[in-house]
Amino acid sequence: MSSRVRPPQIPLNPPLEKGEVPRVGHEPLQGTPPFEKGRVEAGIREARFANSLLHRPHSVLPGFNLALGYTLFYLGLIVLIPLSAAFIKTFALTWEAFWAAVSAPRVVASYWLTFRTSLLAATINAVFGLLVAWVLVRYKFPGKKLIDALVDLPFALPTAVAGIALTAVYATNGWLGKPLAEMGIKVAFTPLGILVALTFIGLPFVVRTVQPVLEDLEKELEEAAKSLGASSWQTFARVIFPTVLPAVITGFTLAFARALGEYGSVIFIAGNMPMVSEITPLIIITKLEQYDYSGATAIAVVMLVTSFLMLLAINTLQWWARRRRNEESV
Amino acid sequence: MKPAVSVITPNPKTSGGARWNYLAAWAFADKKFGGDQNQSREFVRALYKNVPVLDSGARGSTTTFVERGVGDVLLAWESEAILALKELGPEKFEIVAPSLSILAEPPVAVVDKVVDKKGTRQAAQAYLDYLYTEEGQEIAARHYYRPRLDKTAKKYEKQFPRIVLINIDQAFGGWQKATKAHFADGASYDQIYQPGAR
Repeated sequence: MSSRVRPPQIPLNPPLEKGEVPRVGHEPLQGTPPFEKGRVEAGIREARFANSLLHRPHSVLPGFNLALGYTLFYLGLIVLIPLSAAFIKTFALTWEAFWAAVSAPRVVASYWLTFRTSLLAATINAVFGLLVAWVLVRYKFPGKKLIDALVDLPFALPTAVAGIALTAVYATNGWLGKPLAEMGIKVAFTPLGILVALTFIGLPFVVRTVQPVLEDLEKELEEAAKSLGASSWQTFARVIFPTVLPAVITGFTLAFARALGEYGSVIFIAGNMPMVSEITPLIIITKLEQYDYSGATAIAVVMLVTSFLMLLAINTLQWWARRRRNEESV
Repeated sequence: MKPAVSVITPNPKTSGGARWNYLAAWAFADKKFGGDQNQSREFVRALYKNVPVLDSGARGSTTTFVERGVGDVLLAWESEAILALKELGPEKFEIVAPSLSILAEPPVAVVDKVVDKKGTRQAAQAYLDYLYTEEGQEIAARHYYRPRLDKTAKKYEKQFPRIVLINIDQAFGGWQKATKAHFADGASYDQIYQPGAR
């Protein structure tokens, strides 16, 4: 082994002596002092310390207790206190008055309408939002940046403008409304119009939550699935879909929650006929116009509690989907 | 009330103009049926059964009717109707003045507490007085509001058809009573939309 050959050939390293540091490649440059045992150990110590810093939990935020305390305080201030005010206001009502306010036939009809159209709109958005996100992530085409920016428009547009614009387009004398009316489909001033408005405002939620997940999805996964003999459909159903499902559910939840409370855009296109196309937020506004604050908050509380339960159920579903995925991948 | 005529009027629950419309219809029926409450109720109910869209405000209803082409008849402020006609041309719409309607007088007042606090009583009073000068009435009439000054009213006689105008205080005993009887929860307006109602 010690048969030294002259350069330019790469010299082979002699066997390590005890305490010597392994080195790769060339001989140390002339004049470079050889490594000392103590310095190496100090280096290792430093590395270990740095490593421990990196892997220490909650290293960025100043301590778990402080962060949690702040979180609770912030949520309390921004969310819980205003919401509890709504609850307290309803306590002014007797149980009978509360029940009468929240169970009037018109109000019940509005719950059904609001929840039905919101769920349907969120479902439509989940399907087509996934498709839009897929196209935006996976394909290159001219004008892609423009289309990507278009997705955000429903976020930016004042809802009243959206409502008026949609009504203009879908009214029986509008661009889309006219041909649809000739086919016998009336959109503006019907529950279908509400669905259109809610779908419009909810789209960005799904696209923007699914997009980053799809971007992170490695192409190698699909290639691996293909090379193992999976069909395109199987690749989608077994590899891609389970990965993006939690994100889709998040987007669905956001779109649904937004749709439940939407007022501005719906009011222009709905027609607002009692029992038919009157949404719950309108009923609440109506009550406020009559100075019936406790009646308005009573209905708001029913909306809140129902929405909260539904969102909780969806979040549980999502947690379950994520856990199942993790189990599968282990 | 012809069943085939579709009427556009805003939602009385959210719109002030809509309340005037509603009360005007009620007052008309009241006179026609000689004060028979049930018949008046039926008349107003039949009217609202023909309303396909209840916008949240009077201008919203005008938009629905004028721009979207929904409905056959729009119940509107006189000023709003003339304005729509002037904006879009007399060949598109025709203004029909009812034989009886309601005199809508939006209130204008000096609020003692506010002017005393801000020390603006003089300016407020001056504005109030100005509204009823010849000059002020002229401006109102030019914007299709009925002038109250006899001289100005004569000048614009052609613009405003003669209509029997009832007054809310006389016909309904003031807003508070009218609101309670017609627009409160479960009052006459709500009864129209109760399920099972004809």
